[in-house]
Amino acid sequence: MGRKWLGEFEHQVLLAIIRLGGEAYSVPLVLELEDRSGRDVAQAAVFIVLRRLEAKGLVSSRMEDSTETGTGRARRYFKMTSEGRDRVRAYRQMLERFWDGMDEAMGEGQ
Amino acid sequence: MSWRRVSPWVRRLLTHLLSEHELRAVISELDELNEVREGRVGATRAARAYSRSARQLALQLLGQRMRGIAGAGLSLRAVVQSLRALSRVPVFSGSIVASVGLGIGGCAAVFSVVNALFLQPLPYPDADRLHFIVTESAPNWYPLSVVDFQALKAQQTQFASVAAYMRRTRTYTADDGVAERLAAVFVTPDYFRTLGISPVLGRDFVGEDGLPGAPATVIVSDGFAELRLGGRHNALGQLIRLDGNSFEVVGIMPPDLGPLGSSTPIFPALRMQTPGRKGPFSYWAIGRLKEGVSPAGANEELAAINRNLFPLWEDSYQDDRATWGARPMADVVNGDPQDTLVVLLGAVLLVLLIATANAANLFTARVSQRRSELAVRSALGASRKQIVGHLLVETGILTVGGAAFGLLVAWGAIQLLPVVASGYLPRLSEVRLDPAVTGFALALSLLCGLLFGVLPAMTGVGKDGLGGQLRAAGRSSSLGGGKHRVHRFLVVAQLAVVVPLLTGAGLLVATLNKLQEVDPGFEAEGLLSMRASPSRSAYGSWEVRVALWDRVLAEVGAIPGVFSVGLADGRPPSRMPQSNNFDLEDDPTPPGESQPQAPWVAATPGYFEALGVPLFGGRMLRLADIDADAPSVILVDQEWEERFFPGGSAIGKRLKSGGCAQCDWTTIVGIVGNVPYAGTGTYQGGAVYSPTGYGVTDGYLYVRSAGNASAVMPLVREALRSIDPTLPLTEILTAEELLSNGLAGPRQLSRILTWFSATAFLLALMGLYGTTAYGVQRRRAEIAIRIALGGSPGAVSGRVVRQGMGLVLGGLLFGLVGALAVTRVMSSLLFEVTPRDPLTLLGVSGLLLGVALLATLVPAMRAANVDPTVVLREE
Repeated sequence: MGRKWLGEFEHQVLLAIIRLGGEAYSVPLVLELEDRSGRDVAQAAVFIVLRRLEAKGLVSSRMEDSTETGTGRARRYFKMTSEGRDRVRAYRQMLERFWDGMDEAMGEGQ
Repeated sequence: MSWRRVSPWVRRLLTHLLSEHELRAVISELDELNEVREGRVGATRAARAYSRSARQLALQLLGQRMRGIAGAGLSLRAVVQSLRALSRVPVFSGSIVASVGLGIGGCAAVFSVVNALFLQPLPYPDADRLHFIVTESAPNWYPLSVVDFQALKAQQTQFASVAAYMRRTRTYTADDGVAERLAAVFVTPDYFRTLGISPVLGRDFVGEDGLPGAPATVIVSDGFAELRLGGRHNALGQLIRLDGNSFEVVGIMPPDLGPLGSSTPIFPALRMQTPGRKGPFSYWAIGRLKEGVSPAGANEELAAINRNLFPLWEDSYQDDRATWGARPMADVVNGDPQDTLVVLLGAVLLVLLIATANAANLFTARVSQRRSELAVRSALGASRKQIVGHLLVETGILTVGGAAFGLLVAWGAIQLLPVVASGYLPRLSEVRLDPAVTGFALALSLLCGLLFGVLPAMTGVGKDGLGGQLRAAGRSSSLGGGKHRVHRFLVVAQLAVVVPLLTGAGLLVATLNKLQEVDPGFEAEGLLSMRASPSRSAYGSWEVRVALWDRVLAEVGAIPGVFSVGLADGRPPSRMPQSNNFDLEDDPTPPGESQPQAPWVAATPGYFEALGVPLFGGRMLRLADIDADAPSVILVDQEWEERFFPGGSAIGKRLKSGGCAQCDWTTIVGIVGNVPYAGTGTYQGGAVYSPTGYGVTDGYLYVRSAGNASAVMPLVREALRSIDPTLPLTEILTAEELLSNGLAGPRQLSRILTWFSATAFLLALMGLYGTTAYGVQRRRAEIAIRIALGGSPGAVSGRVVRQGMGLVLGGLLFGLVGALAVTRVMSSLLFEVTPRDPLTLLGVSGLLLGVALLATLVPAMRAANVDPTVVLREE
């Protein structure tokens, strides 16, 4: 059960991939994460998390290397797998269970 | 900002860690994000972010790669956690680091000697081409003579250069008149050139320095120049007085001169004068082979030169079987310490083995103690690989600790080697903790780590994980039966290893005792000896020396309390003056055979009286025996008489000494008691005494007095000062000190081996105690039930003792077999003790059984004191 937990940043990256249409590479991911979190995001952290997610089978990747044709850039696109979607849903459900009934408690604390 | 401006090491790392496609994509995406950021936050911040990202990515990927290599769990966090965990069990951690480190340090120290003597070349350029050129007369070999060397130098073609040297001592008189005796090596002009070293200041010797009648010159060591001549630059050109003669300092040598120059302060130029006879053979010749010349080829030429030389000097030398040969310099310098080194290396390896077995025992127990904790880790999702990896981190930390401590011990032991091992190992000043020795220590540490850590870690965590352990009852350190069998096996193995060590130490101690029982041949009580070395310039002639010694003996003999005084050029038990060959009239040496040899001591009649050496037949030497027209006479000892005239008398027999066919016959006039000069317990084949003690150039004075021998020393000094204030007295020793010094080698070796075996014994006993105690702990419930059902505590403790002693007996039996096999290598180190000496074996067995019994008694008594109600309530 322990191996199936998502880390917080892993969760954010997966959500960002979904928001970007289900497939993205590091540059738009970084910009999306910075916009959503309001803080700087290290591109290296995104690289590492994407590799880890791929190793876990939650995303798959493909290379688009237009440098060979001399017309553009090389990019590595990452796409959510069905396993990845299931894990994100499960994570959301877990968060919702934790937050269940919290509105009232948060409201009383204010 | 671009990829090219990223640090080279980051670029290199990423190039190594990523595939070509991946790297292209990373670079491209870094560039793309940089362009976006330049627009948002400016070029500087964007560039910083670019570099940081590249660097972080490289380090993260490297960390992942290292974790992959080392298995799960290796991260900085894991190391820190393991360090904390080990620091909470300081006794456990300290025991492993200390015991394994001691073993590694000892092994590394002994290996450093092996390395210096046999694995490293001599510290001279192309040292494998350096050879000693010696006279080979099987079974003996000895130096060359002046005649030999001059012929060698003139005729040889196989050596790039040849040189000769002679070790002597000389009295150095400083400007303030203080005299001291110094070691000197007299060298021919090509000596340093042959070795491949040269002075750092001044000049080397040239051909003229070696010519008879040339001004006396000397090259000095760096240390001598600094300490006595006011520094290197002041020393050059100074005149120093050696034995009253002035020598000009022409060169200063560098500090490290290797085995043929270290510890020597002065190198006077050797000026050879052709003598009237072939001998004496006092000059060690060295040569540097030319490139491409083989030793076999050189030996052929050497033999030919010797063959051509022989007929020219046949009158004074008849051994036509003797030839010349070249021996590798390393072999001659190292001598023959192999047996000693094998014993030492074997001993330290055994100690290390025991220490490692102990560590394995401790580590296995720790894994067992932590089974609950490890089981929880497993339940929380840690794989077996991760758990084993976690344990391996601890092993790694302990291994590193053991290696570091071991290197410290090795360094300390190497500093102590010249003090504790100089009696039986050569060239200890060249022994160092160099990269080879360090590498050896680290490799040994790795092996120990594998043995004491990896095996217990792998076996302690079963293939099916540790989940079942959570269901196990009790929190005590209960071991499964299988794991306890491992402990018992380790204990038996440790004891089996201890037995050969204890046996070896016991044999050496027995040897030392036997050597101490050897009759020294003289009476030690009240006997004092000292070295007296008159200067050659003042006492160069025979007559002047005879007059000096005659006066010295008379003045010292007149001191109140002095019973007798004598003089000789040898000193028992291990300072042989020279060995001489001779031809017996009754049994002449057949042509083509080597003449017999024996120690030849020049002595005065008082020498025998002072030492208390009895006269068994014939007459004592007299002063008149050295008169010019007196017939040549000698004394021999009983061993010599038995060797050459078994069952008969040697009195009146005649011989010709030194191979001199034209010399007069020498007659044996008396037989005296045996006195050793070749070392206590070493066969020397008898000794010969000539009356020329009155004319020695460098002799030992022997004074026998009533009471404390040292008490007369001030009076002896005063007496000699009144005759010649510049006559130095050195090496002042009582007879007890002489005998003790003569046994320094065997004593040092026996002490070291005793220390090793005591350490190993202690470690093995710790293992025995621990295993017995664990066994009692494991079976507490069973013991409690037995007592509750009426069993006597005595029976319970007896059972524990029987089980413990069963292990001891097993270890002893295996150990005795090992001891019988292993101690054979020590044969050459023993004296009147066989490697299978039954007394020693019995003693070791008794010691092991007795002390081990005590080690098992404590846990046995604890078992007897088990309170059944407490234990059963816990269960």
